[in-house]
Amino acid sequence: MQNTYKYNFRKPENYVFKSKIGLDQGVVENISARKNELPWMRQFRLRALRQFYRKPLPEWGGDLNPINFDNIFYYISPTDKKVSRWEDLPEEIRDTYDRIGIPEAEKKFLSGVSAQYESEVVYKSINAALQKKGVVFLDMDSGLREYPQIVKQYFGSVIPPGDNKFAALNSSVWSGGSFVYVPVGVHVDLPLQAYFRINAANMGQFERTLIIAEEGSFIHYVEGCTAPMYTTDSLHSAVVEIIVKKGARVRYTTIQNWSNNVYNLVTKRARVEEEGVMEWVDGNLGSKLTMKYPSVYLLGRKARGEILSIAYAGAGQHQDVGAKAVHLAPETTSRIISKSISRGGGRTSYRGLVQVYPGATKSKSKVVCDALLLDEASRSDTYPTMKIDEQDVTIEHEATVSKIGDEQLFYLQSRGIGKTQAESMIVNGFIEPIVKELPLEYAVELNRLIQLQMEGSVG
Amino acid sequence: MKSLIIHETKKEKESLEYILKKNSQLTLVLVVSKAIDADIHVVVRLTGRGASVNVIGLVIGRGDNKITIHTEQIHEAPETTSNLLVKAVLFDEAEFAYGGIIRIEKNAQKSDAYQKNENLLLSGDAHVRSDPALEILTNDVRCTHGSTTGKLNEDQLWYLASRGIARSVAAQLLVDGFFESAIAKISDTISKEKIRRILWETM
Repeated sequence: MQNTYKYNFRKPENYVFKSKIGLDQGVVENISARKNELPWMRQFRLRALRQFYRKPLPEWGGDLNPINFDNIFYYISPTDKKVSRWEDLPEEIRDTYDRIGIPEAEKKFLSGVSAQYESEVVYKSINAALQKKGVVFLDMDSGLREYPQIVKQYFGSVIPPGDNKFAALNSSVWSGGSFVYVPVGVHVDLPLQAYFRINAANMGQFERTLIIAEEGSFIHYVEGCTAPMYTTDSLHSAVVEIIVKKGARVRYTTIQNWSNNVYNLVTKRARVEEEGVMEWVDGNLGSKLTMKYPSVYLLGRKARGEILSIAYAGAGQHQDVGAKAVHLAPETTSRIISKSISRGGGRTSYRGLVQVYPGATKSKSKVVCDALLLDEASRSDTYPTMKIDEQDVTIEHEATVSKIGDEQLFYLQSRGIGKTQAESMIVNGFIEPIVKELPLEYAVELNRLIQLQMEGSVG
Repeated sequence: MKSLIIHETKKEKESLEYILKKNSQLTLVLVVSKAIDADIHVVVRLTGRGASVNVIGLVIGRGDNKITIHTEQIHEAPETTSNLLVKAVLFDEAEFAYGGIIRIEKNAQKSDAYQKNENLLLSGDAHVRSDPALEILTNDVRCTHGSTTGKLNEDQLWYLASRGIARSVAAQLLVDGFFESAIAKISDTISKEKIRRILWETM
């Protein structure tokens, strides 16, 4: 059972609109026209497209050559109108969500659900209390329509289209994603949650998320992915921009479990102002290749960034993930903890950057990377980079690579626990420091997924 | 076979390669202290079972020196050991870049590899770049690396000052101590003295 994939089900494709295959100026103009966008956004998209053509593929990281950009649908819209009540959703879509358990989760934990089926958010409900506080939680397209001034001010300000080839691609064909605005001093106590799915062969998903946390506010945004299996390669290339104003705190949690043929190439970055706190919690399972390096740019005094990540690579998978902390102001601190697991010939790579600019005095950064290799065929790499141009700093990096301890295994087996179960207990213990930071249902799901993967290794 | 090599860099560009056969042991001490720009590339291949290497790099950068050290610890045989410690003290506007890689090949089971880079900045205009990388292609290994960069410890300076030691002298003592932790890894007393002398000439 090498391809144990829990959510390996597909729904027949039933789309209202599908752009033609491949990418050119016409496709981009068509997307913009269908969305009735303002001229500035159309120009933004077209400029980004030109940058996409100009930029070369990155030469580092995983193997990107198999991606055929001419064989991808860049825009599909599943239903024409948005609904705010669960019952109003088409039955097929509702069924898909039932199978990954969204309504249950919503009842128990969520203050708002924004479920992305294909390229657009189709289902949305916002807790009335949140609306009363002035919190905006919309899909990006609606955000652009309803709050054009705010969007125009911040869109592309943290990650300009020219940042890298995939940011340029996303900027030109983006669709869906979330727009979150938290007013001054507002604390959102419950996590906001969005689910993403890919469900059309050869369909790319290019969601775009923008979160603005005004002074002294707090928000926890949760994003989870489970995608069905495909026979041809799929591309997922998201851009997430976060602005953390003075004294605000944002936590962004992601658990991704793409099927084994998805290229997941994501740019995530946060700008943190004075005394702001940004926390990325990132779990990467599945996909063929993931390249993702959540970043924090610490621009104000005492700004803080924290990045916790877990990566799991099974057979045929490469997780090239890491973190980036850029210190641009005095007394800024960052902490990066990365845990990776490779099994069955899988490869995990930690790739990170800690950079301290002149004047960022009394900055502190600590990076800890632990890798676990479960068999001889697997591989683990660590590529940290530290660039330090300021004297009055404390920068630490440490990494270890090891296998499951024979003694631990022997001890558990001596207590009558089977080898597989013992191994998954040890692996779950290994990632526990990060799992405990997750919302409860995610922690449960992640532990279960790891266990499933581990059991797959025996059969 | 057991050997100790002390290599003092006098040229701007150097490329060194060492191949360690079965059960051979090498201690390599690299010293870059002559206030020159240097670009040094060191490759150690552990090709025989039981081979072990200990690499110590000591760097003093002054003025507008640009110093680059690149190391490769390549484990090609089982039960091989490598230890690496590169320590740099940077004054003025000196720039130091350390790049290193530990690579453990598929058949190098039961290998043990360590890589550490420590940098001490004595000036606000000094620059450090540290890229310690690992590529591990098999599982039954022990492999660790670390990198730290900082300035002189204020508590230690204060302690020494409270004992009546002038700040400049105290700083010198701390720098000596910084290097001494690496020199202590060499067993031969005469070689230790030789290395200390080379460092003293520059200070």
